[in-house]
Amino acid sequence: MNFVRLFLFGFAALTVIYVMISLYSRSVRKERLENEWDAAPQSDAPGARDAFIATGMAAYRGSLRRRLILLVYVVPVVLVTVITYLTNAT
Amino acid sequence: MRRIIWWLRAVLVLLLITFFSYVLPQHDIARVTRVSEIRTDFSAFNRIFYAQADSGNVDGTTRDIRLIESQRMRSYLFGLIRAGSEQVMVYRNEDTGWIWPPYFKFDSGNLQAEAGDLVSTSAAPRWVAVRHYGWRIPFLTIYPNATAIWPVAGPDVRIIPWFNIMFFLFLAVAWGFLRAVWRQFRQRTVDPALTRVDQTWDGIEAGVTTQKGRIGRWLDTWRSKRR
Repeated sequence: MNFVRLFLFGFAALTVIYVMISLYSRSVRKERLENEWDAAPQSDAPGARDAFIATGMAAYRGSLRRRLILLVYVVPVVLVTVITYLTNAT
Repeated sequence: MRRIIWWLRAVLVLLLITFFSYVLPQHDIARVTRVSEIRTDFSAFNRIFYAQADSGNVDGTTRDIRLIESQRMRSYLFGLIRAGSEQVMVYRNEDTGWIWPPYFKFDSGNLQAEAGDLVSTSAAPRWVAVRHYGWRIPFLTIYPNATAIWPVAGPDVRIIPWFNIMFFLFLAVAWGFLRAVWRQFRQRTVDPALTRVDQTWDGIEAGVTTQKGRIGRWLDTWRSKRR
């Protein structure tokens, strides 16, 4: 009944937040890679900068930080469970 | 213009304060005098200040509302300032359900039983703490919704609102994070796009002024040099 409404609305809202945080995290990582290269270029070859950034972003795709963003789905569920228990069992 | 924006911000802040003062939990020190139930019909004005029927029941236009009548220790400014005297306060005791406000309270029947067990008289008072949200406005006949009740040592006990403190800290962090996200978006996506648009426009403008046809050049011979 209303639990389904909460689940659907919560899932939609959390997905929006997840996408926002994902894009932000990617953008920050890309900026850091670019600044790292610009501070100390490792080679003068024409495509080297793009290759460096592409390698860095591929490493980011498999990293722990990116998977931690999924906590956006986990934490509210835990919170709701804890609040429900504390409100109703005391 | 700046004054208008200032006023808009002030109104927004006031609205937020009003909203949070309704939804966030507050604590009262009180002694329960009676528990009761009354039949209530809602009007358009006060319907929003009540919850829905108890979880699992059918929601009608009229229902029985559980009330907890008490004598509350008078206080102001969300409990910070204490007056030391007593004041009548009546709470309702309704399920909030899954949706709003997010208290997920389903045990109003049990809470009523606990409150009934804590009933006392002014001669032999048993002081309790009542956690509640909402407003008491007799003019609209609305009551705050009691969510928890537990015995305390005396009428002078001070309860620290841990949840509210954590909540506002979290809001501050979330606001800072949103600002960082917006700044990043502006720096990395919006500004370069605007710069590209600017450069394209400059190119177009330059092209318009340099590429002229024969008639344009003939007209220029009639114009003064101060172009």
